[in-house]
Amino acid sequence: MTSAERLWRVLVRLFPAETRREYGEEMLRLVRDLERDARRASPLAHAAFLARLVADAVVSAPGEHARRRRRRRSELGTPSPSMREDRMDTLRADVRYALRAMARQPAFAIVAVLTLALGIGANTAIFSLINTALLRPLPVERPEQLVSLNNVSLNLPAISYPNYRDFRDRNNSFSGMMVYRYTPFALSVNGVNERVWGYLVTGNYFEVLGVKPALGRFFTPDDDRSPGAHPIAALAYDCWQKRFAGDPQVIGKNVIVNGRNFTIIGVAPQGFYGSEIGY
Amino acid sequence: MSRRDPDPSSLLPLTPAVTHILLALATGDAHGYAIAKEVEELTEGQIRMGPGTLYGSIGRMIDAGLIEESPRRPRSGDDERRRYYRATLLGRRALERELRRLERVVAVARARRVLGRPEPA
Repeated sequence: MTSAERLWRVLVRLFPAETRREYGEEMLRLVRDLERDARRASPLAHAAFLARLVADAVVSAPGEHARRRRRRRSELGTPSPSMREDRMDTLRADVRYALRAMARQPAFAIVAVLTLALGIGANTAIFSLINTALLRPLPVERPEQLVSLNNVSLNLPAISYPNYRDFRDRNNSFSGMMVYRYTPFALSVNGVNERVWGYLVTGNYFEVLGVKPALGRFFTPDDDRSPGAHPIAALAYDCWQKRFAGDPQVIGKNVIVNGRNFTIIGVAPQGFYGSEIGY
Repeated sequence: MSRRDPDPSSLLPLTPAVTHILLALATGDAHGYAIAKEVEELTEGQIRMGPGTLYGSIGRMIDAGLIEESPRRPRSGDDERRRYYRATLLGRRALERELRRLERVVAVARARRVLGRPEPA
């Protein structure tokens, strides 16, 4: 077999199967004839002929595919293709080409798929975090009506209690104003000491948020009236489950927070973790 | 010709490849290699048809009804397995109209002095 014949046997695969069946032999015969002429001319002409052969196949094969598609359609009696069908054809051809390319280089395909998998996985994880922290609204009655007010002059999210009282009592803009502080506590339950994060809140905290207790009651503005008189605490649902085994008799029991006795008065509903997002 | 004949003018302008293949077949039936050589000669080597271009054009021209496979085989010891092609009536008409069109283009070019006198053969 001559070099041109060998080359053509590879190149002919670019053409549709119907074309190969119909003209394969004729094409090969023409390659032989043209190669013979080129060889007779000069070695350079032969090399140029081989290069032309590659160009010829690459340039004419797509047209052959299009022609065969048109012919198949007209044989089936389907109407001439619309633009959309044409695009679908291109898409199908692209997908087939991609699959063939992947099959030819499986190592590359595996690396590409793994890279994509890791990339998509990482993005999903980050999105879950952002969704929890930033996008999902707080599980309160009217989250869209919540406004956070901060003291800008101090550059700290802090306000004194008397100042807060003045704001609250002279407020005409909001249905309620509460303050809280997210802070770590030393919690002692049944002799087990733990450092936990919790909220120091005003008596109207749950009322302003519109959150109803899962068990017992929450604070009321009345609880604010006499400082230090009756220290009370509400538990997060998960804390109640984990540290008190979901015991309904927990109401009225004492826990030690920062070395002081607090009476448990209620349990927050499941899924409510306070007014800070992302915790 | 069994197929419904479209108006030859509707096929104009013909591509250079189609025009030259029809020209090559104007003198009689020919097989692929003969067509390719004839076209190369007619165009002074400007159009060299490889197998893909030639048989792609042949396929398209058969679809369009411009040429058809010829049942005849020359007796002169030629390879009997070669397929011969010939121009149909539609093909001959289309070629004629295409050449008339080109003739008019050339006439206009001469009238506007874009093109000079014909080169001596």
